[in-house]
Amino acid sequence: MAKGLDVGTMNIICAEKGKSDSIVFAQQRNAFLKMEAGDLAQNMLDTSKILYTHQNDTINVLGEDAFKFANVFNKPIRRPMRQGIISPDEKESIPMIKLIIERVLNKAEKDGELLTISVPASPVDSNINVLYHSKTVEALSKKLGYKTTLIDEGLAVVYSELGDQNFTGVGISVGAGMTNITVAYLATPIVSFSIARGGDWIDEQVASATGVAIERVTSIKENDFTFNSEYEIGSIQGAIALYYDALITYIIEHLKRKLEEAAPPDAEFPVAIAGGSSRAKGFLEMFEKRITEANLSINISKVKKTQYASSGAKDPVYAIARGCLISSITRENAEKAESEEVNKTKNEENK
Amino acid sequence: MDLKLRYYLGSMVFLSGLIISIAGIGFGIFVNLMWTSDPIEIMTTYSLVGIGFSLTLLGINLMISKQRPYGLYSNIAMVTGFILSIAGVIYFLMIFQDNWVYPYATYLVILYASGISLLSGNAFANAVLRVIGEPSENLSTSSSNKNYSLEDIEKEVEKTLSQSYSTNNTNFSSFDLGVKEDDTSFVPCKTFKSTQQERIEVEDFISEAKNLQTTMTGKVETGDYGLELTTKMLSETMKEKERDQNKSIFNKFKTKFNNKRK
Repeated sequence: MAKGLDVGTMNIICAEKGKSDSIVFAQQRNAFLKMEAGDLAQNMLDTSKILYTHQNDTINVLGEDAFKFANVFNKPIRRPMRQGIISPDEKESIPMIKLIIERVLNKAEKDGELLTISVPASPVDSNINVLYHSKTVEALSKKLGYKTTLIDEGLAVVYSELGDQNFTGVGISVGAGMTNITVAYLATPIVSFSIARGGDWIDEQVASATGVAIERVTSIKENDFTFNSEYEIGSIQGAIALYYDALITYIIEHLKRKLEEAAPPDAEFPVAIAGGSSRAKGFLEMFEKRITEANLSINISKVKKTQYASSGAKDPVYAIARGCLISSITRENAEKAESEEVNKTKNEENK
Repeated sequence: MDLKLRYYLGSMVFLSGLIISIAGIGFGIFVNLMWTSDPIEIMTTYSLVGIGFSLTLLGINLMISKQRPYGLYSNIAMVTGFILSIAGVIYFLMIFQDNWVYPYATYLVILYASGISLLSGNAFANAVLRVIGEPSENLSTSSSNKNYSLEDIEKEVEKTLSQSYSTNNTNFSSFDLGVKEDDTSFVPCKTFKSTQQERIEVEDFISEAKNLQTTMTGKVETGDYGLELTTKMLSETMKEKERDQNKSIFNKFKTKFNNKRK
């Protein structure tokens, strides 16, 4: 069965087709916390069914629980990925990512099962090279028995959210480490690039400006922040709003510059925004306001909420994994159709 | 002299030379020039054509003067050639009426021919030298003048890498990283094996998958037997019509060919 995998700086999410007309998502936080090993601690973690790894005299608590423990013990979270790619500063990045991927993806039911993974496009504002990250993630999935294809994160958003517009439009994924943008026309990317800024950049800037710990800023940003609210000078929310606005302006400025280099066709381009950092209430309205003011060289028809965001309870963070799943299913159907055609021709020849 | 000015001056001289030559030929045609024509008519025609031809060659020399490797010698040859040819014309005007006999006519021919030879030879030599020098000049300027920024270099590297690793448009076989078996010192806890990852099921028809295939391939899959049969029949009819049309075009051509032969 075809699957889609979103390997993000904050979350690793797998999407697969459910038994009925549904999609099943498996999500795990891409983070861990280093703790001292001890029998008591290990027993406690085992009883609570918390995921961890044991290495010599240290324990690495994985996923969502790592955040909970970080708040309790006031320890910094460790992240296997930074700015959208495998972190070169973290020695245990690859084993941790491998464990999380194995956990959410599972082994392929049959060899050669189709999988599409989202990877960041080349950044325009940094000398980060995404090749090593892409090839490593691909290798990890192949090891599990999958036949893997990589697509740009922005294109995954287009596949997921712009089906009604014939896959024409701008797909933007505002993630934790990076922002990925793809302008596509009839499912073909015209412009695809990334920006080495995302939610983490906002957290870092706010923490450095206000002197509050990054973890606390992240928590306020995710749970207690809305655009269009009036905040007092010096408040953390005010600083978050300020840096969100700076990020949006920065994204649109780069999009404008890139579009000037390309020659997009004369068509209507809706914008679809996904990614964890676009969850803030009022983000889309703010984005719509700024993109209207930018006077881009393409005709922006509307700024579209992701399908899951509009349904209320669900999260726009799933859109990328969903886009990857759509890509895998399409490939699967195409391969099926091709083999049927070959069989048909063979049968006709035999007759 | 400024090279640009020299080029424009050369163009003007070339153009005036051409006009004078054409005027000379035009005059000759107008007066219906022949051996028995009036000497003034002969002198006017030939002196106009002679001066015009010299000016035309001088103009060419001036125009290709840019970056001449042997500038001074070339200029001397050009000026000498022009003076000799003009002197030839003047000598022609002096001797034609009374002394158009050997050896004066021979002197005239030597004078004018040497001038014209110098001018044309100089122009030809400069043109050849310029043609020989151009490729090396291009190479040296393209390599030294184009400065690549760090960003340009990185973009080029990125582009080359992505092209060489893309599965679609490359002749290279794909490069796959191998994954080593787990390090024994890195032990996952029991929970990894005893529990399954929590999963969320969301109602979703994923109709985009079909739409994406249609958009990418341009083919529509209906699954409707009647519709597919009608499409096949229509396709066959169109093919048959096309074949008929081709046949009729061939027949028309055949008939025309036969008619011509008759």
